[in-house]
Amino acid sequence: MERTLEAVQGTAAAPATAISTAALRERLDAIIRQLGSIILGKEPALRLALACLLARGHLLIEDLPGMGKTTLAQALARTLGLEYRRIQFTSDMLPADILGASVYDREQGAFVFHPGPVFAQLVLADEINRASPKTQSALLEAMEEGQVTSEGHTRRLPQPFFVIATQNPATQLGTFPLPESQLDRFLLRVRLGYPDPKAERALLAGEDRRRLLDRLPVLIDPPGLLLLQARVERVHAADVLLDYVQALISATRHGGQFETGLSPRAGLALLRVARAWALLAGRDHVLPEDVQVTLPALAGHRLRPGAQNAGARADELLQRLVNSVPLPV
Amino acid sequence: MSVEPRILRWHRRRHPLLRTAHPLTRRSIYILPTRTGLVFTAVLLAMLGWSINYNASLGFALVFLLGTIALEAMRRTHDNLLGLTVHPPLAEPVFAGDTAFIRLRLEAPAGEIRYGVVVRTAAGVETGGDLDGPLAALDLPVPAQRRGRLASGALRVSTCFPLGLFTAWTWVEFQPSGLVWPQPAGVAQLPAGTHGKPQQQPARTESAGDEDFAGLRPWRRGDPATHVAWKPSARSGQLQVKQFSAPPGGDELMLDLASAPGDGIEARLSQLTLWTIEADRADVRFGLRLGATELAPARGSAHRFEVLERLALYGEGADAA
Amino acid sequence: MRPEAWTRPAPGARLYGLPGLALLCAMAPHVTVVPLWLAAVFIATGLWRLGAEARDWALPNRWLLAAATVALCGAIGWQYRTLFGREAGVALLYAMTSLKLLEWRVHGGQRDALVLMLLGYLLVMARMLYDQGPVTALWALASVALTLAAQVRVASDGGGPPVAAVARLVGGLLARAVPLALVLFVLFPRVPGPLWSLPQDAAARTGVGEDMSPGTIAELSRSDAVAFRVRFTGGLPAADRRYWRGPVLDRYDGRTWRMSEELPGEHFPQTEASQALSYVVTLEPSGRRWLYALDLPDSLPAQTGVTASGMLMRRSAVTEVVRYEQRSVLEYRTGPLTSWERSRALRLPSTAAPRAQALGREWRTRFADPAERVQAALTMFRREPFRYTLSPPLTPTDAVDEFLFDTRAGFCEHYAGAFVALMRAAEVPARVVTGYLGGEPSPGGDYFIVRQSDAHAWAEVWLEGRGWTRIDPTAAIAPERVERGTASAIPDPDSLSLLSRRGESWVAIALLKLDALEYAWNEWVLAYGPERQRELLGWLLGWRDIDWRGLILLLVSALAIVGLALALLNRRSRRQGRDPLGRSYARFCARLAAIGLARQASEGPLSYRARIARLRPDLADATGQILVRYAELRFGEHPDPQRLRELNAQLRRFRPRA
Repeated sequence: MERTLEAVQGTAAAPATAISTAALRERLDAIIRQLGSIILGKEPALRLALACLLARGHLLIEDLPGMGKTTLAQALARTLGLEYRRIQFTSDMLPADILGASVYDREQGAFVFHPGPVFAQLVLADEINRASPKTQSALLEAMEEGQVTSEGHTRRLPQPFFVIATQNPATQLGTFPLPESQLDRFLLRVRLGYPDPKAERALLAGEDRRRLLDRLPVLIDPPGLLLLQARVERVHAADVLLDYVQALISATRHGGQFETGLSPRAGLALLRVARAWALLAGRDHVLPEDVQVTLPALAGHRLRPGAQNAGARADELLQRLVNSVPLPV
Repeated sequence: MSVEPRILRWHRRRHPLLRTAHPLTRRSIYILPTRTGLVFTAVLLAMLGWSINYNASLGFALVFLLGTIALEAMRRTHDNLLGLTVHPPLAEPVFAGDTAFIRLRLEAPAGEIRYGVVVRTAAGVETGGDLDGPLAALDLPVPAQRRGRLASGALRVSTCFPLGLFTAWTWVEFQPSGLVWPQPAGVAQLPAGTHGKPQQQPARTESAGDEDFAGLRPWRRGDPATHVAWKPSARSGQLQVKQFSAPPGGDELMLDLASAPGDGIEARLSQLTLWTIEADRADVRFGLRLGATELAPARGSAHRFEVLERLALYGEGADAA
Repeated sequence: MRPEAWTRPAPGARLYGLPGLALLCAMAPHVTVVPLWLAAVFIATGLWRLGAEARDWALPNRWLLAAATVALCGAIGWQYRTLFGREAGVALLYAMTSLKLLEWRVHGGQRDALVLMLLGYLLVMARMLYDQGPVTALWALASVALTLAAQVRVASDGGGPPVAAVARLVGGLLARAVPLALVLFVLFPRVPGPLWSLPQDAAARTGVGEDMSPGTIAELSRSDAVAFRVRFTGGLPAADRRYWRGPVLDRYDGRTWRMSEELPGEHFPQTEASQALSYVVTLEPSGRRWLYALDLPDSLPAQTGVTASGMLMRRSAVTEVVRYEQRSVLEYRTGPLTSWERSRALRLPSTAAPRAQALGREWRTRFADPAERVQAALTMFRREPFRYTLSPPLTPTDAVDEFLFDTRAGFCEHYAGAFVALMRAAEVPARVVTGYLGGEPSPGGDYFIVRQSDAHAWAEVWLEGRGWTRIDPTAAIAPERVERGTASAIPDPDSLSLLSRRGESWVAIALLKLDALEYAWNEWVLAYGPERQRELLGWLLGWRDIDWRGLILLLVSALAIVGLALALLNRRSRRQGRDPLGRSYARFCARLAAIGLARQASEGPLSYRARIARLRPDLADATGQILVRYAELRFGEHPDPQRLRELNAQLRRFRPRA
């Protein structure tokens, strides 16, 4: 930590609460720019990832291997000055491998807790669908509660705490895709996808990403990040906007587009993400567009197309739904 | 009007004391014709009688026009209050027996101007005007009779706009919030017993004045953002707050309720209040002991306020601790 | 943002402008009826009031005002000999308003000012005692609007909204009130007749009266005031049949012909009659009880009976416009005379007109057949040098004799009176009938205007076998009077007023066009009484013969409709009216939709901005600014009203072209 903090001093001198929205936007733009210099041509996904973090949520990346999921996690950790751990999930992993375990210490004559890799500020849970459901749910519970309970002791996870889980969408043998109830614990799901040709060409020409990563400056520190997260909650959502969010949520429940509609918790999550998205755009109030843009990432993994739309992709159905719900004027 | 006290009693039964900003709703707005409204009605009835008698068509037309206008004006008078938000009043602390000025802030819904809104205190002081803008503040005198929390009483918010034929009103009554310090009384001479005792200990007392930087401590809820030490915080990864304390002084005084002269608690509190003022004026370090609770000696305005607040709230439930 | 925006009202000129204007407007038309000195008092107090404001003149104290009140009341009482009745009442109202101006103090004088406003409404009402025409209605509306605006200003103690906002407010009040007032106007139960009567005003209205002496009708002929208007629903009667029967005068005292008191009943005098002719009369207020009908009436309007002499008599005097549907028979016979009727129709004061009585007696001996005696009289009028004139020489001693044998110049009342006197002397039962003759078709030709200048007097004689027979001696000397009206029959038509002359001047035509408006106004507004209401409700609801229970039901339902409508309108206006921003945005979007850039229902302001910028880069700047501002106001926290005003200003200027 010491090393990174040297770099912070210039930027984190003022509390994020006191600075103007415009200055805030500049800083957030700098973060996005820096991430964009590592993950080329994926700005929307980067913004969503950052918004997810600001909204105190966890991120699920669904992609084929080699799309830059790990690089994204590392870039985020570097840029935001977060302590980073990577957990490669395998089928033989046990919950204790993640959470940690108490080991009897002969010298002290007592059990001493050895924290697992989950005790970090940014955890990359790679290929989470390879682990057994039991191990998966251990991680997910820790994510949900922000704490780890083992052997009767409750230990708080560090703050901020951000999990990026990756899942390989291709159905493979020996995997356990996350059940819907667990998917709900991820605030957003993004897909990075293949880079566009221009970005890919630049990628080929450029330096090795990992080496670039090491040179990235830290642009914000954990307390600053916490303050930003607090600020997200103060982004104003007008009454008409709440009406609109409500209309969108209720549209997912009626009309039979989806098997089941979004839950009230998902509604609150949508509002939180929209607030974070608005803050990223340098605004202190939410616009309908913030909701519209974030809805597919928020609802895509929470909804399954209904019987009449079998075969359609949830993203497309969501776009259609957004187009069908009128905005309050 | 004599019916108003009765309506007020009824209103109070239905509406508990307010704590937060309160938008005026249909349920709490009352409306009655003014004296002009009654005369107007009488004039209209006379005109109607004349029209009926002579089958004067244009007379009917005029009467009905004025009548429906009056009805519409009644609605507008009512709506002139509807949606108005009354924010909890702010008050500077005062001594009991003085007049406190509460600052009441009214907010019209966005994009609207509310004309002729009048606020009257329970004591009958009236002020008001046109409410243009998101927040308008007006200062109202409220007599502070006894120490403790300042009760602003039922504030009557009313309007006759637009035609003066009807008056719509409501009462807003907030939880007592401002501070009323005890009335300073008794002897101005500071007690001599503890006065002039030299302070031997070189160690710093735990008083929290604001003169001198005394070190860092972890951030706690409620610490002002200006006290956060950002650079050390960044270094330690934990929010750190700068701590200040007053330099050790020569004289120290402990004001004790138990040993204060006076008949009864109130008189003693008054005495302590007077001493607090005198001690502060003399720049003496002083502390306060109220039964089991104690405030360590210190000086400075923040300390004085703290002492006065404890004196004001002594014996008032949990606040006294 | 202005955290402290309490604006204290600044009394002064702002307080005076509107109330002053409103009072001036309310007082102005009364100048035609109040004495000039009273108008002068008003102007003086008004100037004093202004002087007190501008130059700090002292205002009178209470004692002086009380003294002035007593003095003015005394003066008005002296002028009218009473403090009651229409004229004196209006004068008192005028005086009170003038004095109240001086009592109104700026500071703490809000109640005085509100009283002034109430006086303003009363002054508007008072004007309706005199005139209820469409022009008065317009004036009343303007006056009410001004007084309302003044009341807004006064009620806010001189503060309150700026003039433009007051105008909008008053406009809104009127827009909301007018339709509902209309509902009440139509549905409010109208009850027939006066419930109580006030002493009739001394100043009689113009029109045919209860008596006739030389000069009465000639005087009326100079007035072009409308007596009534008629629309024939069937065919038109021939020009020489348009005798509008009014009072029948059968008592003569040597100078004046008078009406007999007769009880109206339901039996018409005619025993045989031709087919009836239907028409609708809209009668201007005459202050008299009789209605006019073509000779002879064959139906009874509401509240009306018919006398034995064939007059329509109403229960109460016509003080408001009355509209009635009427049938008449133009060819008729009446029954035999009772001996009492016969003696009444032959009575002649023995001292009156000795020469004419002698002539009559001579005819009685010469002609056995009464019809021949009638012919003898008409022949005399035709043969001798009789003249038809509006301004005949005076006949100071005996009207009939001097006219018949000396001056031989007269108007219809001279001819009718002299003829009846001759007939009675010749023992032919006869009487004078007054009323109107003719009428002028309106430019559109759908109705006839009968003016005071059409007033006429003619005679009726009773002949065996035919009953009462109309004889118009005027026709014997001036047949064109019957065919074409007075102006063509007299040698000096310039003495008639413009419209009585039936000229073709453009002024006359324009005035006739205006008359059409007035006719419609009378038909639909002023004459809307119990009968018309019943007709309308019968037509609307198929509800005939409404009794008092029906009327109460009607009143209750009318009030319920009004209440419900107000409540519904409120809910709607709360949705819309509480959202000026939404309305502005809708207007903005409509303008863009007009050039093919309609906003999609789900499109937010920023997406909309992006799409417009892509499709119409030339509009990007203007729309971008508006949309960003809208987004801030709609979705931001603590929207600034100033920004809304700016946005509205921008919107007003925004006129995109395709």
